[in-house]
Amino acid sequence: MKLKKLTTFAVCAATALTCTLSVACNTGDGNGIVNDLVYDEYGEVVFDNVNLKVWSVIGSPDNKYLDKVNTSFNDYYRSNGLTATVTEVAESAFYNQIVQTLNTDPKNSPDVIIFHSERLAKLANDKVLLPMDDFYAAVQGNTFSKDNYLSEVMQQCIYNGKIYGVPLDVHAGMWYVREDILEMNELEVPTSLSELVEVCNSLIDLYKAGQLQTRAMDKDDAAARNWTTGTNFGDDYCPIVMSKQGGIETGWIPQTAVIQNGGKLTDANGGPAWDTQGLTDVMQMFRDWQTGASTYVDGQLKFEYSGKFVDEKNDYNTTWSKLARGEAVFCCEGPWWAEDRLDEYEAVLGSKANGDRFNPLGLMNMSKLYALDEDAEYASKVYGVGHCFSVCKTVTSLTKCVGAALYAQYMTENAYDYFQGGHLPANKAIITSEKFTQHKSGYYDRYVKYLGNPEDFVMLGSTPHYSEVYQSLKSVYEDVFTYNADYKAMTIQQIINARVIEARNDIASKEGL
Amino acid sequence: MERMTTVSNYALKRSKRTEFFKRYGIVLIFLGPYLFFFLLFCIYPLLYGIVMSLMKFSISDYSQNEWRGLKNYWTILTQYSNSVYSRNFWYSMKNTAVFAVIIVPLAVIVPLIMAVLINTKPKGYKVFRALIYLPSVLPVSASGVIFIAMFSRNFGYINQWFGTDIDWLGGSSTTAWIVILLLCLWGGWGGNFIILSAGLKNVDKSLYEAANVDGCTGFRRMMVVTFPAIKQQLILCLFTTIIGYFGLYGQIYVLTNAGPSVNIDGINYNSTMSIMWYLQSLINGTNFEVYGMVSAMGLLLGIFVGIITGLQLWLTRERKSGTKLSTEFAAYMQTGVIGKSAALPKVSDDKGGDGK
Amino acid sequence: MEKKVSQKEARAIYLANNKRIIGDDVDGFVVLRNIDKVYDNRVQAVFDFNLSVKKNEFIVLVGPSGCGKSTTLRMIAGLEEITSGFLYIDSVLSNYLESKDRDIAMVFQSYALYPNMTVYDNIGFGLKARRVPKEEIKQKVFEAAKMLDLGPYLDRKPRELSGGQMQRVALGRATVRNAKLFLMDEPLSNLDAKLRVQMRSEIVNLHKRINATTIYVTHDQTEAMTMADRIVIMNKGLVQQIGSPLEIYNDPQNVFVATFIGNPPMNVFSADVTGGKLKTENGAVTLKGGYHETYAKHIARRAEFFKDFETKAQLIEEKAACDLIQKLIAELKKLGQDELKTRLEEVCAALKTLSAQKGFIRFGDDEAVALMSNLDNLDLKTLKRDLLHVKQEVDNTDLQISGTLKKVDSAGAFVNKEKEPVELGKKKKKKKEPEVPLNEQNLQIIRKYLALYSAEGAQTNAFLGIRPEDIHFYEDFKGNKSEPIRATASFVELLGSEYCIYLDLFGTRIIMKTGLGRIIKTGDEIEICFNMDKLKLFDKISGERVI
Repeated sequence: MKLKKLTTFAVCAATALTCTLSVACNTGDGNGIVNDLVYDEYGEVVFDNVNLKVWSVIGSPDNKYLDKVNTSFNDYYRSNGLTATVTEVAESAFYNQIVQTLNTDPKNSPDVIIFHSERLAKLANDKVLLPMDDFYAAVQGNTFSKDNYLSEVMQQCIYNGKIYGVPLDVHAGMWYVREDILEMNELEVPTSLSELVEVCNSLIDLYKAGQLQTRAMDKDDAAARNWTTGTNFGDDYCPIVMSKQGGIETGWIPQTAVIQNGGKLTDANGGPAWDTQGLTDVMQMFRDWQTGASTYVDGQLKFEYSGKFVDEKNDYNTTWSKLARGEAVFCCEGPWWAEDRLDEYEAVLGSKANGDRFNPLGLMNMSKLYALDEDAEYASKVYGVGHCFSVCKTVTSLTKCVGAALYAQYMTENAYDYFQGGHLPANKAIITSEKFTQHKSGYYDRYVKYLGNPEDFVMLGSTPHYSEVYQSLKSVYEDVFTYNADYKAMTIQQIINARVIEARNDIASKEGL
Repeated sequence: MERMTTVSNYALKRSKRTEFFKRYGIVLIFLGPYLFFFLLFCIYPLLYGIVMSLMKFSISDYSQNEWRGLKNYWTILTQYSNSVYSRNFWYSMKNTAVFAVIIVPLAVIVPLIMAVLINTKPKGYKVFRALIYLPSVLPVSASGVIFIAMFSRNFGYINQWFGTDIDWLGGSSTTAWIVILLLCLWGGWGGNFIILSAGLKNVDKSLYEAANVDGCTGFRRMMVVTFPAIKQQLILCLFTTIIGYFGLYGQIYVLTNAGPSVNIDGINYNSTMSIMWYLQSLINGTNFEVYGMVSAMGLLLGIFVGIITGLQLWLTRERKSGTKLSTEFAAYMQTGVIGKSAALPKVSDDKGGDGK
Repeated sequence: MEKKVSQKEARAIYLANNKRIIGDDVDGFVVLRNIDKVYDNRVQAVFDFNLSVKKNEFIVLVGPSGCGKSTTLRMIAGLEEITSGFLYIDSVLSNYLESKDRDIAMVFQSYALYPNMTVYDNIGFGLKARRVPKEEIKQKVFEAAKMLDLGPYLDRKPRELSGGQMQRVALGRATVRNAKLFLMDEPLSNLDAKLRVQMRSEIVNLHKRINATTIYVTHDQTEAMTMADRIVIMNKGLVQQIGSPLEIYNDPQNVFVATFIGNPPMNVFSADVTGGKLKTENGAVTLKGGYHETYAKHIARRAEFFKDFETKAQLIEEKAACDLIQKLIAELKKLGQDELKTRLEEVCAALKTLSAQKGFIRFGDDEAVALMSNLDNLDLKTLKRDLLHVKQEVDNTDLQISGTLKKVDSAGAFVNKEKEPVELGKKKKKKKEPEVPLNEQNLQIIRKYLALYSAEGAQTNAFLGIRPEDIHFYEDFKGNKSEPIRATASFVELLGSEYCIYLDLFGTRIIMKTGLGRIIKTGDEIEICFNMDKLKLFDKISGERVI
């Protein structure tokens, strides 16, 4: 009896095991694209009601501008039988959901994805994406060329020599500046690190002397909007808001700091290369900003400070609240907030365009802001992140692939409306076009032109280890700004070493799986 | 050739057959749906997980999947200094185990004290009972938000009331763990409280009276009567609490998301990382090829919990009654003397029990 | 009576005596004096319990369930608070002593063995709790085990034992401590019949051996009869009779005792007693000399009692008037000055009348004038307090009356089989129901008896009681026999050594017990007679025994 039971169990187990094995080892290679192209008499590809399912990582507030471009695509191509539907997927779940859907539910998986191009190498490496060179070649007389795009940005979309994506934009975190406070106190918006330090020192000196003029952006309290010189912000006036909880700061500042001091983020194998002296010096400077101690570079005195620049008690709540109260002058946020924030400040405090004395809020890009040597050729470079269009491996019809490629091409070449969301174009033709610089909404002059020179942007570099390389660098910044005593006791060099080793270990462990 | 039988034999066989179906058919009808889903959602994933744990398994690119044998286990168990997976696994296991060691006694004793107090039925005890159980009605996300509102550095009530400036959740691992502990305790005592209250209600009142007459009151009476009487409930609480806290996830996810970082000997860890949080972070991450490793970790965790539960079962098992005293009594009956010297004649073939 | 001392002195004496108060005039080992028990929900379970237990005596409290016998025992044990009255154990006032300080041992109905302990630990626990040395515990437990035959089971847990064994362990636990007083609360009721008989004798033997004073509670009259030195029969919270088993069997003091004790119980039937004859519907029986006269005297006494009864009823009805005043006062609060004055005059008048009738309320013209003249700054609170005082006095009278009534009511319990209007012992369920005030309850009982009396009082009916073994075949009986009565055996039970014959006689069912001399079948016509020496006569209304 017992034996019988055992046998039954064994048989069951074996069956189940076989089933699982067969599923587990099902290596569908997804490269079986069927050539179903049909050309009409003019040599153009015929689309028979092809609808592209598009998943986009672009969320609020700039997704509405992407939708505008998508609508114009549909209007343009509908007569040709090609349309696209965009679905927004939250970034936290985006990549996981894509690979899960592609493998377990191909019917509902997207055909085209819009995502961050720094992750492209990883997805291409995992065979999630299809190379797009052939798709463009299949369309006669197509003008697509990778040279049409900013080379640095395009490079991020190329993996193993093949184009896996078409870049849409490039963008970086921005500094928002209380221009009215600077102007009222006869100071200028800084354009480099030394100027920034100078301005901050002046602000602190004025505050300590009781002469700093401030006003609050408070739509409910008219009295608070009046200029005052009261020292009502405590002992220390910290003109800059920086914190470990600032997601934008962690995502751009340490990266830009590496680049502006001549370093590179990744090495040839895609491993971390950001553990440079430049990063160490800048991070040491940030630490000094929290304490007010002077900054030395190479043993030489570089900067002296009148007081703390950064209050260590900042968190994600204080980013905007301190700026609104006039308790700080600089804070870092994403460019996609530019339009909303400008509207908000100008509605409450007025603007020069409306005849008022000040523009209450201004923008400042990161160019030269972390460069210890401001004359170096790389000092004006900024770390950039871009969105791109890629075709998923589940598309098996060549016609659809070509449609997807045309979609990517159209979207990137005609996205004038999209840049209202605070991005810079990756397509060279757009940068110079009047439809961009003199867009009817006026976004270019109002804020986009302050985002920086598109040519100055430097990308992460093609790496299949995006999360390891990028996350650990973010952590360096967090460690510098944490209130945790353990990290305060460590030197910057120790922090950076620990994080870079962590990244290398992560990569090694992953590769050793 | 047709088999021959008598009518009565046939009737007997037939009734046996219907009897068999009556007995097992019903069982199958009731068990069937459950069994189906049990196989589908428990056994199949388990076997699948076992298979996965023996592979390098990528969910994004099946072509990378390769048979690895026991390598994943080997890595976890031996490659502490080389593999981050091993290191983080053990670190989070240690965190989870230490936390369990601290919280489990608290999570049983605190509700026990409350249940004992409520069982004395003070005035308004129904209100107290409801208040005590109330936190358990809240989902972790809700009670977590309450705790964040209390312990936040800049806006938290605690810092405001006491004029302190402690960054409870981000400042150091100790304070973060304290807040997690409080949330676990406060949000989790309701279940154990109900179980223990029910147990206390069923304690035979005459036992208390007997103890009174025997000269035992107060705490001593509790030790003699109350605790043994609710032993089964205590064991149940202990079991569910231990197993529950090995799956500690929600509270950490809501409060600290495994932060703050801690640097130990030059290596960074997420200081409030529990094993469940770690597995979850690997699954939710973008390292798609890590699934084989995660499966191995999950199975190892299962085995650990199994061992702990087994150990507990063994420690709390019902012990068989011995024969020591009855043998001694038999000796006493023979010799009329009590003590070790009296135990000597036991060598004679007296087995005890019939020493009249 | 104790002499009165000041509060301070009392405290000094109390502390000087180490909180032990010795009752000097106590005449027994365990003495219960005027013990009352009223539960929190105002249900009174025990009324005025008086008992004196001699040393080494085996006392059995017996009565139907809910009669207060267990409550009494638990009060002795210290598991229930005593509402009023005094309890002395070994001359020490024990009302306020904790159970463990009373030096008692108790056996519970459910045995109450500690389920997690072995038999050995269970027996020895009382000693362990009192920090007796280990060797001594072992000695004593082994002795107890020897006595109770528990040796082989010493290592076992209670759940591994049979009912009888558990019972013996419970006994062992009680004996091992050599307590002065043994309390047993229905210890045999969870055992099967055969084991019960066996354990009965074991307990009696045990008592003989260890000679501890024992109070034993049971609802089984057989246990009471076979085990007790003295029996206390209770009903509805009141003691009905105290006496040795034989006394109680032969001379039951009322119908309740008569019908509760004995198996089968005493036959009780109604008959007309006039002119020395007992007139029944099945023929007349000549009574012994003197019966008639005694009964006539009783009737006269009874008439007097009911006269008193009527005055009591009146008293209570007047009390209802007092309640009316209470209600008036409550309403006064809502009134204006003029109205208040008129109403207050009414109140004063009512109070004066009441005061004139009853001595206990002091309310004359002076008080009325004082109340009226002070109208402007009349403090309703004070007035209310004064009136409450009046009410309390009237209530006290009520309580006195209810004691008497209760006694009467409980004695006739088995006679008046209709649903009792007041069942004090069984009111736990409906807490929310508005409570019937005590005077209302009393009034109802009084009215019931007055009604009974007006129906029966003039007549000469009485209850007659005869035990089944005192009914004989007319031809066979040689003693003081009555006239023959013809009857049909409606049912015959053979109990082995004797017959139980059920007869439809006197409008009820009469049971007779007889030897196997004749063969009787159901339906046989037989001629029977009573042993007139054993014929008892009870009052028809109160159930008390007359002869």
